[in-house]
Amino acid sequence: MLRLIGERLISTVILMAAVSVVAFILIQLPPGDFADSYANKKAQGGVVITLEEVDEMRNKLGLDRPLYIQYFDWIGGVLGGDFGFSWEFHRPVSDVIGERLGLTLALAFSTLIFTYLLALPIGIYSAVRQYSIGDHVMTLLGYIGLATPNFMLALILLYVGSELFGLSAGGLFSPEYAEAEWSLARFGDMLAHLWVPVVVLGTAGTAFQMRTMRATLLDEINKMYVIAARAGGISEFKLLMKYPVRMALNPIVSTLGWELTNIISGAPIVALVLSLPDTGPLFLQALLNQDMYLAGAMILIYCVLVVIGTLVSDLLLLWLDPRIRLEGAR
Amino acid sequence: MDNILEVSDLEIMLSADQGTVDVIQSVSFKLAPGKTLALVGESGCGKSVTAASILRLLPRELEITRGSILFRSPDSGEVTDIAKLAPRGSAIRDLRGNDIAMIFQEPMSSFSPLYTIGNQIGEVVQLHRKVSKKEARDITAGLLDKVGIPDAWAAVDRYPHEYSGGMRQRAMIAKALSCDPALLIADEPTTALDVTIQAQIVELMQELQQEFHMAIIFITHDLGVVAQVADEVCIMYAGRVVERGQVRDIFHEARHPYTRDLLHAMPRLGNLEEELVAIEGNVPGLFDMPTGCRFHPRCAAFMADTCNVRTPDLTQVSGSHIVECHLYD
Ligand SMILES: Nc1ncnc2c1ncn2[C@@H]1O[C@H](COP(=O)(O)OP(=O)(O)OP(=O)(O)O)[C@@H](O)[C@H]1O
Ligand SMILES: [Mg+2]
Repeated sequence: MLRLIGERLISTVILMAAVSVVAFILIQLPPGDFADSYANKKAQGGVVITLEEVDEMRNKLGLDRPLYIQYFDWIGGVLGGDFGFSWEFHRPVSDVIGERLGLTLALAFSTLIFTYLLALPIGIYSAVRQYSIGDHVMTLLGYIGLATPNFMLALILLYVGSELFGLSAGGLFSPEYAEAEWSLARFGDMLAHLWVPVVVLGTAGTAFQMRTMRATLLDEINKMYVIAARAGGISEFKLLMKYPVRMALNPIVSTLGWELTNIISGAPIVALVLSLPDTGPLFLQALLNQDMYLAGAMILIYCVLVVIGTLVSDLLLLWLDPRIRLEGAR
Repeated sequence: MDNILEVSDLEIMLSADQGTVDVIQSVSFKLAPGKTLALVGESGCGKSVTAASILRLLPRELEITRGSILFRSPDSGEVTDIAKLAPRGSAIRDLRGNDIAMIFQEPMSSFSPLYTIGNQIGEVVQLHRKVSKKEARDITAGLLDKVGIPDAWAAVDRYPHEYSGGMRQRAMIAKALSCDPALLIADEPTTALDVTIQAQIVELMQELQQEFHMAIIFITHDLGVVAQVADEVCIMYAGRVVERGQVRDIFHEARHPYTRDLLHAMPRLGNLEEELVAIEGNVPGLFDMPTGCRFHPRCAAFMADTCNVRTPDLTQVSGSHIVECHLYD
């Protein structure tokens, strides 16, 4: 058991190292660099910048060094907690991200909780009452949820939110709280806004997990071990929870990391549409401006979240299923 | 009522997309305390459905539409019509695992892989007896020891996949015995096992029957086993009981052509060189049941204009020996 966990941890570390290389290559992929895009911008503003000036800038930022040196320079800093400097914002990357990362995390985890809190009970209900009206309604809603693109759902909810509930369009705060200090009232205001992106980001996942739960449970519910347990005299509800539902949690848990990936990769676009003050819009902007260290740090953070999600799902699976646990012990 | 179980005129219908058909029709039998009844017949003749209906374990699409299943509690003498109970209610749950226990054909899949054997047997003990978790565990270990599982006190904490098939069936028997049932239903308990292990399990069940004084309904294809364990036999064909009687009635005085065919198809020790006769034709499907006697298309003694027209009446051959065939009308 411990050895198995150790193995997972080691492979996670290796994976993170690989991810950092890929992240670095990714931000280098688009043609040109920050100096070019800076010059372009200035040129559009009518200011003429000579080639020498661009080269000088490149030299100052260290962009003329070989790639691998730039990488080790960067990753060395990251390991020491220094994510580099954002040229666009003229501030350290950690400062720029820091103030927004909390919101991103809050959004991602609220969405995860929303997804499972809704999907599991509905999936169980649909399986137990297969072909009931409730099941048909949920199935229909599920397909609609799966088929609706996030940006569309965002626009619909924005409209509904402002027309019916008088919410200020988009954002995570009402204007009076936008720049205020954190307080209970501000937190409450955030929750009142947070549900919109949570619903947008969570709907497809909820629909998918609900279908997974329903299908797996329908499969399990007629298995021999369930009938054998019923023959012992256990009550129907306890039977359901202890035997088939517990079994049906396996595929749900093993897609946890993947679900988190979906949420995180979907978040920037949704954040942009809803103009949320989290890392999403920042990320897109950093990519467009080739603000290398900012974009790199963001990709790295997103990847770390996904890797951690996968690790958590692996560990949960180990805890849930004795077959896997004992396999590893041998 | 002296019998522990009396099933009368049982009918079970299946609702499917193609319509509604009977799976079990006019099934009746009786079982005295401490005795063994064998249910015999080809695959698909309704043995498992009959057995499952006694504990109301039928899937939703199968429903008891007629008849009664009277069970007499040996402790209180109270008689319950199980066919009238709500399949998910508390009355049937009090019987399950407590007065009537069941073991299944596939020991490999009769336990959940997620919990230890001790947990799953202890669950039944705790459901029906007022004992603590620890006491339940001790009782479970004692049961495992009794059914011949080596090192029972360690085996309690093992998971099903750490048990062999034979050991799992022993554990299943231990689970069934955990609350000292008056009736044990064993649905092909040995079919999935090796021949040598089959014999051990049958022997174990016979020993335990003596000790616990329970009645057993033993479902099997294997007439050899029937001869060994049964007091009475029901021969089933296509959802009906075509002949029933004491073991010697069936083995020495068989009347129904189907019973005779089954006996001919049975391999006998001593004359292995004798050719085995398979019964010709197939069991009819639920949705294309022959009219009249359901066996007539395969019957050697088929009589035109009779067998394919009317359902035969029950004929009493002797005290307990009953046959359903036009030859004896
Ligand atoms: N859940 C179900 N849905 C539809 N048909 C069923 C269902 N359960 C049983 N049947 C049908 O009922 C008939 C009797 O089945 P049953 O399982 O009782 O046969 P059996 O005598 O136990 O056979 P075997 O020896 O193969 O176990 C079969 O025709 C079977 O196809
Ligand atoms: Mg069967």
